[in-house]
Amino acid sequence: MNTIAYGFSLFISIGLPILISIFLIIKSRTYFKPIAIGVLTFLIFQVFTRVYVLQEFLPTQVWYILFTYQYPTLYIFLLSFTAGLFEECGRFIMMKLFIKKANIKTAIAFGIGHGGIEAILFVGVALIMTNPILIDTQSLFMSGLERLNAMIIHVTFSVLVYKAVYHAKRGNVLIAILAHTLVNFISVYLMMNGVNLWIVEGILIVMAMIGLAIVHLNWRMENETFNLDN
Amino acid sequence: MKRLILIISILFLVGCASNNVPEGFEEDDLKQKAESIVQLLNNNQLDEVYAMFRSDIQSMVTMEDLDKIITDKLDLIGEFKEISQIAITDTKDPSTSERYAVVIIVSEHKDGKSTYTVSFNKPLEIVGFYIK
Repeated sequence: MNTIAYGFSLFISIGLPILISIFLIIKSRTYFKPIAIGVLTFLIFQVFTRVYVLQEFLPTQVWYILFTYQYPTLYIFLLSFTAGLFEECGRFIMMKLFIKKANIKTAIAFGIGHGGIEAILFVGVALIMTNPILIDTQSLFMSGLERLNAMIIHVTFSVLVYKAVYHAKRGNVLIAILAHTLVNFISVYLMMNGVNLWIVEGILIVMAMIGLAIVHLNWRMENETFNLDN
Repeated sequence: MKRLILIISILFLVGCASNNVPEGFEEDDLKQKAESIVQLLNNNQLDEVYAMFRSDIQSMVTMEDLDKIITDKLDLIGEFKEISQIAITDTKDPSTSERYAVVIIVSEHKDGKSTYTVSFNKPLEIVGFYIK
């Protein structure tokens, strides 16, 4: 059972983003650029900036350590808010700078690149370096499920920001930042307060389903507009 | 304006983050214990520090783990010079609600510094240990 859960999580966090990316690129080479820009966005606006400051600089500061213990809820909120701020502004800047023409499929490819590299680096690599025997089956299974939901949510945020960049819906960036903050805050806050992990996972699944509905709605709207134009 | 209020609020709260010795703990005892731990680590008397870990923590962290973490860090920052800052706050075990004291110690070294975050229960056993 442990091996199955390990295989499932390893597939979701490494195999799935790579396979989807390869599939899309084989289908059309135009998907390579948004996938690559999505990967770069995560690396630049998270790994090399926010994550670096959070892991290397701030934990050496006494005021910061005191703050994390004395204001845990505000600390979780600030972590969630900065994740939203960096990643959504990052998406906006990178799409604006490097992707001149786009449609909703481009935005989905961008989200797969962004969410995929996050899954590979934060969960996939950790799974490879860990002995699965030391982790219980439930945690192993949940890490894969959590990443699947996170990738769907990343695709949703990419679609929201795409609408902001290419359809003049600037308010979407703010919506994406707030939604990103909310998703992160709720899941971390509940976990820190000992809420059953399946409940947290259930909430994430609901959020991912709402995300899928938003993507589907935008897809339909864009295709209907396209049909009317023709 | 709203942004300004938010920034001021954050700065205010950060400024409020100060020493907070939990009830049932003595500030001097905590400082003394934490200072002795840093001294022992720098004198390579790791087994004495390891013996201060609560038994359930010992079952999670081996002596070899502690040795590797400390050796790697000390190799990087060089010879110990002095302790430059100590701060205390409190925390609660989320599963048992037991109150712990958290001591943050900054030590200066020849080629850098290290920040230790050590959590103690009331009998002053180590229940949490983090080095950056």
